[in-house]
Amino acid sequence: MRESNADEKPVEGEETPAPEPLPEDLAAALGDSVLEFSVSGARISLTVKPEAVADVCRILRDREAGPYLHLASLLGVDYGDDLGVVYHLYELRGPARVAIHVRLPRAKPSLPSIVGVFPAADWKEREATEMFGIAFDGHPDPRNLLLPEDWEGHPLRKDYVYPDHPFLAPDPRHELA
Amino acid sequence: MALIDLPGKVQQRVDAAADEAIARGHAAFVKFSTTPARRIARLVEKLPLGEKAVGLADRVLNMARYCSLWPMTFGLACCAIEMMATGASRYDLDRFGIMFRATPRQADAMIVAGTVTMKMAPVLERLYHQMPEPRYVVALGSCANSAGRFYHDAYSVVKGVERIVPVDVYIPGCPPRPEALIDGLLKLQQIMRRDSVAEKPKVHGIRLGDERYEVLKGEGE
Amino acid sequence: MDRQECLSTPAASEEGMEATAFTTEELVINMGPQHPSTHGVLRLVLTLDGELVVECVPHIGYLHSSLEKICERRTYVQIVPFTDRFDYLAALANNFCYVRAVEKLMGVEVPRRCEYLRVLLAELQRIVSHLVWLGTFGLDLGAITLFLWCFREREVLLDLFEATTGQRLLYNYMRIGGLRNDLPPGFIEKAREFLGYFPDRLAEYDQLFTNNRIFRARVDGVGFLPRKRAIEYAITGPMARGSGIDVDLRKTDPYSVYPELEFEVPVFEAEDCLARYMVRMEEIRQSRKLALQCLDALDKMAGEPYQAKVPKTIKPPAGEVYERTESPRGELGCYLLSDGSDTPARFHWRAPSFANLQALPIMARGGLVADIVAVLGSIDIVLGDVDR
Repeated sequence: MRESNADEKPVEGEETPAPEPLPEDLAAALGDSVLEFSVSGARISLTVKPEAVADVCRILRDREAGPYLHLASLLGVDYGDDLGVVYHLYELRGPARVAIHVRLPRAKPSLPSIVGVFPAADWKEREATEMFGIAFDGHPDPRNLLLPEDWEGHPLRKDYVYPDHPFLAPDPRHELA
Repeated sequence: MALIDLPGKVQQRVDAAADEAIARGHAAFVKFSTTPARRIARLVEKLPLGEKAVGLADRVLNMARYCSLWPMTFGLACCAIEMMATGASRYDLDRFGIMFRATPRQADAMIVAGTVTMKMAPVLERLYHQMPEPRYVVALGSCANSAGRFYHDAYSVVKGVERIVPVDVYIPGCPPRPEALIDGLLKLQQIMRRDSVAEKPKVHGIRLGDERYEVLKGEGE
Repeated sequence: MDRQECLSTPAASEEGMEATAFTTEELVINMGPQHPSTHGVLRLVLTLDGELVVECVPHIGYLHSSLEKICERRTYVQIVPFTDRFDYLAALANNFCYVRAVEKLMGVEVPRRCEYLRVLLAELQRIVSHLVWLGTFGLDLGAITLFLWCFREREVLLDLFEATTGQRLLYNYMRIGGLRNDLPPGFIEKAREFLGYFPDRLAEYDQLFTNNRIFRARVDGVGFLPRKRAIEYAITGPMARGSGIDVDLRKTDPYSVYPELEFEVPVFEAEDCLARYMVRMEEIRQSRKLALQCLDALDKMAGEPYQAKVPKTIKPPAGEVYERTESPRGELGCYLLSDGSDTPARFHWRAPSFANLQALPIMARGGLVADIVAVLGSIDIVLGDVDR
C-alpha cells in the first residue's frame, strides 16, 4: 500500500524522484523474504512472506546500526479478499520506522508468532487472533483477550454476523412509528 | 421462627411459595417471607390510629434511609470520572449524606456509571443480587440508559442496563454534568419516600421484558 | 516487621517450612472487575503465598465497546467524538492524534495559530490528566485530602475547557484541518492566572504527600520494572521514563510546534513506583512551562485563522498512515487505512495503557498484595484505552 507522508509530497512541475533502495545491510540480511518494499527517508515499508516474519523482526531488532527495538503496534486487517497483519517497528529514539505488511489467505490465515522476538506482541497477537481468526503459531497463550471466552465469530472481519442475544436486540420503543 | 401465626390461607400461600423455591434449589430461602418488623407493623395497622402510627414510622425510617444514601461504586467508564468529580470538592455529595461504599453488602443504591458490555453483564447482575433490600439502581449517562453512542454497530455493548436489572432513575448526558447527577439522586430520594415498613420492598424500577411494562405502557404512564 | 523482613521471612523458604512444621498452600483470589482501586473494570487473578504475590494475571475486556468496528462505519468527521472516549481522562490528546493522522493522509497543512492552540490545549489536558492520576493515586493509598485538592485544581481548568469547547470531560473539539472554534475572550488571562498560582499548590502537594513517610514507605522500592524489560514490552510514556528510558515523542520524533518550544523531559533511573511518581510530578511543571510559552505566542497571533480549507466531505486518497503522539499515558498511535471512500477501511488505536498494562505481572510478582494497588496506580491506566 502506498504510504502517505505529508513531508514528502512531490512538488508540481518536478519529476517524480527515483525510488530509494533499501539500506544495504537490510537488503543483504532480508534477502528474498521481502516481496515489495518502499523507502522514503527514514520510513521503510516492507511486504514480507508470512512464514518469514519472525526472522525479519529478529534481523531488524538485532541490526547493529540503528536497531528497531520498539514494537509500536501489531494489528490485523481485513482487506476484503484476504486478511493481513501490519507491524510497526520503530527505533527507540527517533523517527526511523519500518512498517511490515503480511498478506494471509482468508481460509487458513496463520503465521509465526513474534512473541519470542518482541514480548510486547503477546497481547497484541491475542487481540488479532480473536478479532480476525489469525493463528499465530508458537504463541504461548492464545485465549480470548477482550471478548468473553465463549464468543463465536471474529468481529472485525467484514463478513461478521452480529450475535442474536436479548441484551443486544434493538429496543422496540425506539422504532420510528 | 414464627412469633405469631399468620391467617390460614396466607400461611398456605407462603408455604407453597417456600416449597417451590426450595424445589428450585434456593437453599437459603427462609420459610416465612416476612420479617418481625413487618409483622409487627401489620399488627399495629389493625389497631385504632394504627395507620397513623405506621405512617409516622414510615416517614422516619424513609428519611433515615434517604438522608444517608450509600451508593456502591460501580464506575465503569467516563461517567465514573464525573461521579468522582461530583463527590469531590466543588460538587460535594457528602453534604447529602451520600458516601460511596465499595462493597454491595453495605450499599443502598447502585449507580451504574458507564458502558455495560456483554462481558460485564453477569458481574453486574451478581452484584445487584448481593445488595440487601431495599435497593435502587440509578443509570448514569447515555451508555447505561440505552447504550448511547454504541447503540448502532456495537457487538459487545448491552443496550441499556435496564435489560439486566430494574432501573429507578435514568440520568441522561454524555457524560451528565455533576448537577445532573445530584438532581437524579434527589429524585431517587423522592422515590425512596414511597417505601413502607409494612410491605415487602417494592421493586420500583421496570426491567425491559417485565410483564408490568406492558401494563404501564397500556395505561400511558 | 518492615518490608525487608517480610519479604525474606524464613516461612517462605524450604528450610523455613521444615523448621516451622506446617504446610502452606497458595491461595488464588480474584481482585474483581468491580473494585475501588482497579481504576475501572480490570480483573486481576492473584496467586498468593501468604501476603506474597506469586502470580498476577490481568483479565481485561470488561469495557470492550467494539469501537474499532463502529468507526469503520462512521465518516472521518463522525469519528472525532468517538476518539474522545478511548482515553477519557485526556480526550484532547486523543483528538489531537486522530486529526493529525487524517491530515497526514490527506496532505492538509494546518495554520500556525491552530498548531499553537492545539499544543496549548494538549498541555493543559496533560495537567488535568496528571491531576486525576495524582488524586486517584492518593485515594488508593489512603490520602483522601490529596484527591479533594487535585480535583479542586482540576475544576478550574475544566471551567476553561467548558468555556472553549462546551464540555467538561469529552470535548469533540479538534477538527480535521483545524478546530471547532477559537478561544473565548478572557481565556488567556484566566489561564495565566491559574498557571500563576499553580506552583504554590504543587508545593502544597509536595509538602503533604511527596515527603510523607507513609507514602514513601509504600512507593519507594516497590514495583521494579527493569529498563531492559520495559523496552522489550514496548512500555512508553512516564512509565518508561521512570525506568531510565529517555524517550519522549515530543523530543525524539517531534510533531506540531514542539521543536520551537523549550521544555525538559524528566527521566528517573530508579525503576520503581516513586520514580514514576516523580516523573509525572515533574511533567506537570514542564506542561505548565509549555502552556505559558504557548499563551505568549498566541498573544502575538491574535486574529489569525485557525482552520485550514478542507473539503466538506472528507475523502482521503487510498493509502495508510500510522501517526503517533505523546499522550499523558505514553505513545498514542492511530492507524488508518483508507480506500478512497468517506469511511475508513480499518481504524486501529494503539493505546498506551494496553501496552503498559502487560508489564503489571512483572512488577507485581514477588511483592506484597498491598503493593499491587500502588503499582497499578503508578502505571496510570485508563480502561477505555485498554479495552477500546
